[in-house]
Amino acid sequence: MAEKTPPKKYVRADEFFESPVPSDIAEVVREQVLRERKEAILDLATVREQEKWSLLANKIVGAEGA
Amino acid sequence: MTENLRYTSSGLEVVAIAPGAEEAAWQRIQTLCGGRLGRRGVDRLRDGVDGHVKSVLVEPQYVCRDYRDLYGRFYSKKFLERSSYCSRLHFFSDETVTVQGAVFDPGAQRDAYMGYSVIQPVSPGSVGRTVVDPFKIGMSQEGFWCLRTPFIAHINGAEYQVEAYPYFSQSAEAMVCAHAALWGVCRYLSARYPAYGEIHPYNLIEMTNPSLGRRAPYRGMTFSDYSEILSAFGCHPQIVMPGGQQQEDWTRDTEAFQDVYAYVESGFPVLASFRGHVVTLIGHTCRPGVADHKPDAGTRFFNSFALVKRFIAVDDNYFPYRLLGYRSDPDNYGKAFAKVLDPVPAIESLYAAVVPLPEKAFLTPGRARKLAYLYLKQIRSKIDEAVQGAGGDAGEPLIARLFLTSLVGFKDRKRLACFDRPGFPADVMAQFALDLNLPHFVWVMQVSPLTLHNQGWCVAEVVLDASANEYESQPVYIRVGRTLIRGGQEKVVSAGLWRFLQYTHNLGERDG
Repeated sequence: MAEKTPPKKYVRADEFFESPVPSDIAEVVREQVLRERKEAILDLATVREQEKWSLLANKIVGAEGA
Repeated sequence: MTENLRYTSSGLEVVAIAPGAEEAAWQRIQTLCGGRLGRRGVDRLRDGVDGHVKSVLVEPQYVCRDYRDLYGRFYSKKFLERSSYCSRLHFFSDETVTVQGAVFDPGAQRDAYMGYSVIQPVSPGSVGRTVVDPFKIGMSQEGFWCLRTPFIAHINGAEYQVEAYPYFSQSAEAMVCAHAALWGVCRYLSARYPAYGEIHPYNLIEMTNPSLGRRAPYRGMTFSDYSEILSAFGCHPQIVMPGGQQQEDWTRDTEAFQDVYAYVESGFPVLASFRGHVVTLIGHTCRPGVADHKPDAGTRFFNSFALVKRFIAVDDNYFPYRLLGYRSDPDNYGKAFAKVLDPVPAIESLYAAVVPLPEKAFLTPGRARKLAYLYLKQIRSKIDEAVQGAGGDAGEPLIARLFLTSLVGFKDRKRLACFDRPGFPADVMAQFALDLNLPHFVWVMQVSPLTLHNQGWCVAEVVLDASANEYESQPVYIRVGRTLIRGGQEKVVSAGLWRFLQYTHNLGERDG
């Protein structure tokens, strides 16, 4: 392994956020997700997650010689 | 065959594989294996190691715990007698190996050790537990991303280690391909993570539901069996079926393929079914461009699935590390099934996939991808600024790579990134992620322009809590260039780097 030099100081997460500026990104996305949920007639991700897999239940996935 | 092996000599012998005299060498190996290694077994092994192996150290009598499990619970019940012993072959890439050297000076041979294969007294599927390092049989580390985990082997007390994905060929009597694939998944997980206990082949047969008839000899497994067995093993299996029952055009359901790829990229062995045959996807190779893939409609980012050239597959019909390409790929190994499977195995022929997930990975890749794209859309101007700061080409496609990873692996890589190393300046901002309280599993989407992506760098990452749902989630943090965002706060870190190392820990790091 190549030679490596450790950092001189352990910096805590909060130290990175001294004098921050406000950000509304999380809130904007949250509102968008909720809005899309309200407007969606069919949420494809939900459809996929809730899909009934019983059609697969007895399907052989591997057998002799295959 | 009656054997009296009580306390006799181990009979270790090295067979040199001289160029041009391979066939004679393998006949000698067959003789030393006492008839256990048949022609099919020789062909299978030579298919993988020919051209790379220079010496084979043969242990003529070896007690294999996997075969003993099958022997005790299946083969011993047959009328015709067969041995309960196996043989084991150790492969070396050095022609100077001797028994003396292998036992008394293992340090001198460790780099040349390629792995081993257990030879069972079973016909025709004599190749039992096999672990061979792909990088020692010609797979290039460049662009070959593959699951491997360390396995230890001892030769009369001398310890050898090999990093590989475990392989077992079906006997076509007790085991079918589904058992072999499932055995590989379970053995890989138990070898890598102490949370999983080791299980043996007959455990899998025993756990197969008998509602469709007897379990052995050779009854195929069903998806229900898969789900039940993986659950009993301690996993939380997820099923992905591209296009549901409508599978005429795979491009109509690229999301499902991106899901399967996300799991592979996350380091999960994926059981992939191709209508009657099953293999395990354990990695992928890359191509330098996005080919004919389309970008995400909202962000115009290309999912890094577009850069997958082939999946790396373990198929018990072949030596491991086959390359599964698209149907049009002349080197797609699945073409070999043209006479027996329709459609032939290929990336777009995937029928269904089963993924052995850990419990706390609640957020699905589809939802994680959607959320990450929404966040990235909000910081698009900052991404462009970071691309410019990192010396990237603003006109290039932006690649978004999504993966699930554990807190331990993620923090370990961030910790390493904090060090100053030749060619890799200390990443000050990595300390932010290092110090955070994080859930056991996080989804991470990393973004980079194509050229930087291919060089292993990224300019932005969104980290999501994998145990949260999409409505309660806010990003754990977002990093874009020199800016950090968390909660309702944003901060520019003037000493930060514009670009930082991709996290590829799940499929192996390449920068030490």
